Amino acid sequence: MSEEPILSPFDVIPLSVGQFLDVVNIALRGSPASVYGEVVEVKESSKWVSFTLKDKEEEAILKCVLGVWQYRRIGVRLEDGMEIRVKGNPSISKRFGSFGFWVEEIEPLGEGSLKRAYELLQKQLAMEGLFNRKRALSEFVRSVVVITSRDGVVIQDFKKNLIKRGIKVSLLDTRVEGQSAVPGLLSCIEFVSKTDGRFDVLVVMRGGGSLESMQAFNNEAVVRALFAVPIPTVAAIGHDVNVPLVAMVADREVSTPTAAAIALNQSWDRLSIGLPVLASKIVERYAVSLPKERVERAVERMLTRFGAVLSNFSHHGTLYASRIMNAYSRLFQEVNKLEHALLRCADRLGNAIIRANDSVSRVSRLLTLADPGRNLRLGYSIIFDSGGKVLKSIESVRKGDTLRSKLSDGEVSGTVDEILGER
Amino acid sequence: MKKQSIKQLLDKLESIAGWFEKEKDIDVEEGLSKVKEGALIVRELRAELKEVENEFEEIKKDLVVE
Repeated sequence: MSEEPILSPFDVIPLSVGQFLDVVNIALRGSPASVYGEVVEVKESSKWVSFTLKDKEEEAILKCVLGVWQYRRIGVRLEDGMEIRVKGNPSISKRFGSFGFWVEEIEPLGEGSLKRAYELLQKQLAMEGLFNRKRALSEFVRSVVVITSRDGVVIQDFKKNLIKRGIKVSLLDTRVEGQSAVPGLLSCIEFVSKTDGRFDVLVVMRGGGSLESMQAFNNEAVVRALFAVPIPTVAAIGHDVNVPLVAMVADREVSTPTAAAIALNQSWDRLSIGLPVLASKIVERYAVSLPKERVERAVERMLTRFGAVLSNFSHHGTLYASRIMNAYSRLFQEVNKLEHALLRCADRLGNAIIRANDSVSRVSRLLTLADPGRNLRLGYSIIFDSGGKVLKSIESVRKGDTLRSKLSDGEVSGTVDEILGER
Repeated sequence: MKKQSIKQLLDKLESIAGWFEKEKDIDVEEGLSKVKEGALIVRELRAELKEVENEFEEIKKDLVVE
């Protein structure tokens, strides 16, 4: 039976300090942990944020660190005295040889810490002016994107109260509860930011809740992402005392999904309320401007366009003016809906004038055909006897009579040599 | 109808209404021509006020998460 050789620490492969710490850190990285405690000594440099987590029960501390970018992404502002829970990995700094904790997530614990984190962030964002910009919703909203949970009642309330104008509502389903809702909310908001022109407005919705359940809506990264959305935003988030920071940064803040729907419905007001008003204005003003004598003058002006040939038919002008006035009177007597009045007014007055024009044109054509001058130009002539009477038959003509013949451009005269009778 | 054209048509209708308000001595024929133009616009815009059911769609999550 052979004996196992006894190995001393110096018999294993020797490692440099750096190599050894690399091995240790690789091993530690496989041990993610969640640790809670009280924050002390928060320090922020241009690249790093560090703080110490202190145990409240015994004398124990944990040095924590994370990059500034990560701190911003997590979106929770820290201050000494806050109670938090951190998730991350333990690690040993190769440079300083110190043990620490690389933080990946931070969650305030307890109402006091949540409120303090809320106040700190609110102050910071207000100082940057993020709550001052308020863009108007576009008119005639036709495409809405909603970020909320598909399982909540809020989306149903919103849909039920939205005006029926063929509006396309697109839902981006995401969690809305607690700190864990942050990544989903962020990805949805960033998606909307990338779809330029597809949506008219973004609505972020959730029902009311405690400061703890509302954490994602008070998260710095979420608030900043919403501020960066290129289209107008509406926040419909229920709340009590503390208005969620997402609601404060949105262009329009309401507290219920019904109110959000009403805000979008109002984007149609200029058409739904304005159209009847405009129509009635036009009809009323035109009605006031149309005393009978002015209509008659207008018809007369129209008739004179046909020239002197119509002079014998001036009674037609009066007749048509009268018809137009009758149409006009009937119109305004029976109009109930003002928006229809425009159409009727235009149709009836317009048609009356068109009919008058047509009739006058027809009379004009008939007169032209009957004009004797036109027949003379075609080669016909008119024969007068010596007394100047128009000859219509050979019975009144005798041999030797002197007759005068009118042609298109003058007259000729001559003596009757022979009467032939009808051939 | 695109919403831009709703805006343009409403602007046009407002300018017609403005013309009637501004003109003190409205010419009957010019007024009629404006009324006819306004009537056509009203007819088009009224079509936009008809009740049309809204559409609803859920955008798939995989389109969102990169």
